[in-house]
Amino acid sequence: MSNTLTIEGVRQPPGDFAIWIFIMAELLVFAIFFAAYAMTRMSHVELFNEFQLQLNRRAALANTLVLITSSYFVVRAVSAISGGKARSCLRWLLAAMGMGGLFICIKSAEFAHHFALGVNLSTNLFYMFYLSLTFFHFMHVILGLVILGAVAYKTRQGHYSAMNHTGVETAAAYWHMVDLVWLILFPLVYVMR
Amino acid sequence: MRKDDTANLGAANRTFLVLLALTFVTFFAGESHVEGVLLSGMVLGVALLKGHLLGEHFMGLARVRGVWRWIVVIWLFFPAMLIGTTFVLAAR
Repeated sequence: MSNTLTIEGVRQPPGDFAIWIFIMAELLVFAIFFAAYAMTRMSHVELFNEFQLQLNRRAALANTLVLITSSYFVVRAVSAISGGKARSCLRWLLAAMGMGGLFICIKSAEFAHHFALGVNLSTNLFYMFYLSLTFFHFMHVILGLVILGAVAYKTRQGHYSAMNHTGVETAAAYWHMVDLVWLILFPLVYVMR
Repeated sequence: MRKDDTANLGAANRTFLVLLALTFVTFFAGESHVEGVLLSGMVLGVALLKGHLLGEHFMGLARVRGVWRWIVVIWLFFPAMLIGTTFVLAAR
């Protein structure tokens, strides 16, 4: 976290600069999704409110707590490698991946429940947005897990140190972005009405 | 571990606890079965605060100078304005 780069006197955020361009592109796509959801809801308030109440908010609560905890574990991983503690960093990364895996399990159970009830993208407008938004985010969690896994493997191989851990910071930035998007998605889709 | 790293970790620890607490606030607001702009505004405000805290203390933007410091705040602002506006208009 303390390993920031200096380019032309401007301090850059932690990690590889390219990941921040990627993060901005991803955030823009999610912002458009959120805007489309909100604008469509404006013309179908009763429909959105009725079907939102059928969602499992306890599962969404669990998933929010899981993702926040996972993000915190990644912060601890970056802190550990900043202090030159590669083994500790690896443990925190594996713990973060475990929480990410738990998110996948809970969300998969939620999807399975909806599909068993015959819900799909064409059921109605609310479910079209719910399924596409949450599945799009779900795919980002999977990509984040792959990235964390690759960084954990390189950490185990001794590629990172206190002086050189940009890779860990880069993976952390992506993982936090996945968490950030969920922090808006959770209230918007599950709670606000 | 250096002194500033310890301070950063302390801020991250506090942020973690605040994020967990605010998540329960959002959940119980949803469980209240109250509808309307007041609930939506409160929940949206909590979400913005959580996003800001995550950007500052988890993503490490609190220690960044210039426009990058505000990249998460800028991102949060535009969808939040649009979401807030549509919820107000829908309630009329």
